[in-house]
Amino acid sequence: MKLIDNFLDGLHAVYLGQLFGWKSFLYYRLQFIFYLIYAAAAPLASFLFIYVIYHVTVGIPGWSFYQLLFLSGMVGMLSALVPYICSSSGMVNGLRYGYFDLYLTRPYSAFTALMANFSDTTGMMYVVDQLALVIYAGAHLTVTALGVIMTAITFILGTILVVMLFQIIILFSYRVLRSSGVVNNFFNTLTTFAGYPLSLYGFTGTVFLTLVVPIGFATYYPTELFSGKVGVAAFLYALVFSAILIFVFYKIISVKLRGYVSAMG
Amino acid sequence: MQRRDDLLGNGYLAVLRTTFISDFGYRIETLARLARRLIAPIASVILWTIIYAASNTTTINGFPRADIFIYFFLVSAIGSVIPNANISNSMQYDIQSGNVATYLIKPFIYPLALIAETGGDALYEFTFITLPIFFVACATVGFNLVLLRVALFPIEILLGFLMTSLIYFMIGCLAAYVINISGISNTLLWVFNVLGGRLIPLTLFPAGIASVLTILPFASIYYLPVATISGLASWSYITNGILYMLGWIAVFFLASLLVWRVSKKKILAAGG
Amino acid sequence: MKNATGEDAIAINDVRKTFTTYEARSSSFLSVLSKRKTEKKALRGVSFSVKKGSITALLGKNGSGKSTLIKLLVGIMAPDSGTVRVLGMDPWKERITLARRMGVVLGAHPTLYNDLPPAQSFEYMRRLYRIPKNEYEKRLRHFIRLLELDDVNRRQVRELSLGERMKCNFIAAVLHLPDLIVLDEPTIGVDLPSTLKLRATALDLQKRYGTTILIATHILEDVKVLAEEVVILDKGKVVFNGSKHDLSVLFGDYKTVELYFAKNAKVNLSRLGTVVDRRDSYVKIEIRSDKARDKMLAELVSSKNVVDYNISTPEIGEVMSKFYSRVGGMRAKKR
Repeated sequence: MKLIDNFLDGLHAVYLGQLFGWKSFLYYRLQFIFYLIYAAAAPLASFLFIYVIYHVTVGIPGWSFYQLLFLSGMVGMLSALVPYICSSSGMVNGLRYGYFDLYLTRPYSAFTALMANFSDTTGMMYVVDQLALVIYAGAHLTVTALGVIMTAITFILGTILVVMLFQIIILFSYRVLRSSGVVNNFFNTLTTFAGYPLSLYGFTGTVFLTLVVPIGFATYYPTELFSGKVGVAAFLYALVFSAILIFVFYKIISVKLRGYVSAMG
Repeated sequence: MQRRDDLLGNGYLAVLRTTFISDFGYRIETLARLARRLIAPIASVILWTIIYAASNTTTINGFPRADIFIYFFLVSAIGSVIPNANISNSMQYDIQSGNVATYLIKPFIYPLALIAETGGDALYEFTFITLPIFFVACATVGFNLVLLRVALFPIEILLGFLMTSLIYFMIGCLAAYVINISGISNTLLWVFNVLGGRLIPLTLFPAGIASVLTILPFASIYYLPVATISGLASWSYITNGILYMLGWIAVFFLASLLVWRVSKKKILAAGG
Repeated sequence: MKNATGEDAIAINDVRKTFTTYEARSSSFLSVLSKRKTEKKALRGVSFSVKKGSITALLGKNGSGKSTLIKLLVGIMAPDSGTVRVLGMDPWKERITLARRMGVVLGAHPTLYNDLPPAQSFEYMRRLYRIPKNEYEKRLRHFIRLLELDDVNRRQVRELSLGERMKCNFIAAVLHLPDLIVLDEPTIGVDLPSTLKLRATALDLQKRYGTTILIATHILEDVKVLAEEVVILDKGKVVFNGSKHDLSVLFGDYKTVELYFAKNAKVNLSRLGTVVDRRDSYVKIEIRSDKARDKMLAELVSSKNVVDYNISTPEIGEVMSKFYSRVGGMRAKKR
């Protein structure tokens, strides 16, 4: 019972963090629209890129224009969602200047403190515009209701995994370097590779980007599920593997946070 | 920003030098960036190799398959110097912390100080990231270096640096009006990636779009320097490209003056 | 040393904490790969207790181990050895439960949402700590009146002065009426009127709700006005633990006397005390309090030699600086 209570308290705290983050952002109503319009440049650029590929060449074997567009939208959403949930500079500053100490004086767990306090709300506008690209591409693909549900679940689990991986790397690099520079480079490289079908990188590349750095769960597999390249069996595999990885990552983060030492005194 | 204090008495070059030297303090970050710049182009190389293989051809729109490797590595190498997004990040920090007021009353020109400071960073990046990757790429593939083209390469990079500095300076001014501009400068990177030739060599675009892109300022960011040194671009393309770029620098310079004049009051009021 | 009892809000026994840091050996490019391990002993066997419902000041210079101690008390860190009990709990193991009964103000760290009016941050705290709405409104009105905050709804936090922000920080930390409040440098950089209101509010909390307050500070006026008990840390050890009165008796049982002499007056002052300052006819002298000296002083000021005089008892600030110089002196002699 205590475990469930703690979990619900954690969810409540994350919800409050989100709610007040949004209240802060909505205090500037006009900017909301400004960001929404501005952020559209990214999915438009992706669209143009893929359009050119399929216009001047035969494209990537086995992948249609809309499938690749869908994948690119998923990667775009992920690369906006991760900093939205956990801004690396915010988190490193929080650790470095001791705001994190302050969050730990509140009645929630260290992991909740991490999830509830470092989101950058302006990032959501970029997620919304990328989602529009995903919906546009998805509308041109034949799908089933089950496919959509499986895609959504895999994407959510995959995003949680990538966020947790991101937090682990931030904690490690903070320990060693006290900065977030390495993290952003790593994440950038990762999304560059995830922008194309993992199958391009052969068996080794696919395994690496699925099990070692699990970005595939958030981008590649949802796209495959959505476009019907793989079915329920693959979904169940993804479910089991991502559940195991989430558990492992959670343990690593908890241990790392216990050993966390802020500005010493 | 202690390093900017060098401006008092020592001038802008001193700031450039101090920045360059203080960047040595972040060696692991440098290694991480070098690794990223070496690894990231592999994705593009794989993608285009597979596309060429699937299309069963050795040239598409005049871009030879053999040049894929060198093209994407050099583009990646240049990417560490331009576009110069550091300027808007610095400005956001200065404006939102209110520090900008203290810089504006000191006896130096704040925008120039920003360019000097980010110029130090760019020089550091050029020395420790662009050049090493350039040499690695040359050693791996090997291509004919023409002296004049080699000489033009850093000049084009410098011009690209100046041009993007001006663009990001104008974005930096926005920091006085909006909560957060880092998203805006990231979005712009996406546009540069596609329209500037980072993800697709510009010649691969359909002919109509390609000719428009040549005139737009984006072409000079990644495509022009790489096409110059690798021998992809003809001499007339290079001279035209440089002329267009000089024109755009003039336009952006005037626009920056205007934006700076308009936003200065708001910038001073922010934070302080 | 006092023993921990059920009446103690905080009981700390022989707590030790050492930090390990890694420093680069040289400035060469690859030096990050080999680093030297250095150890810093932040706490070296600290023991003290704080009675329920009391106000205790925790004093110490920078690097004395104050911040480390506070982190142990709120459960952010675990001690290497020794025991920490706060409100009967082990903070490290029961941090979340403890957090519901504790309020913490950590110096200048921002608790409030910068882009929203402070009332929104209070609302956040209300929902986080699940305070009933009518109770919350009653408390908020009370604190706003005490701290003389005029409007917490109109202006964004970023537009407030530092003093106003600290007052709001304070409210956010105490809205759930904690049993224990830990204040780390609560008045640093804050203007005098705001400081006075903050102190009054802390005293009000103690009187009204019996709240235990631990205040870590550099500002001696805080100690003078608020504290009943004083704990002084120096280099990771408790060097003084007792009432504020004890501290004055130990190191402040003297008075400072300023004397203005008549022309040509000849008086031998060396038997009376130590001359601190002397200019023309003005002499400032420090005199230990005992009967013989008091009598001599009374005779002196009533004689014709003295035109005017002024007697004052020492400020806590002077007591502290004397205390530190004595502790330093003892250390120097040991070496």
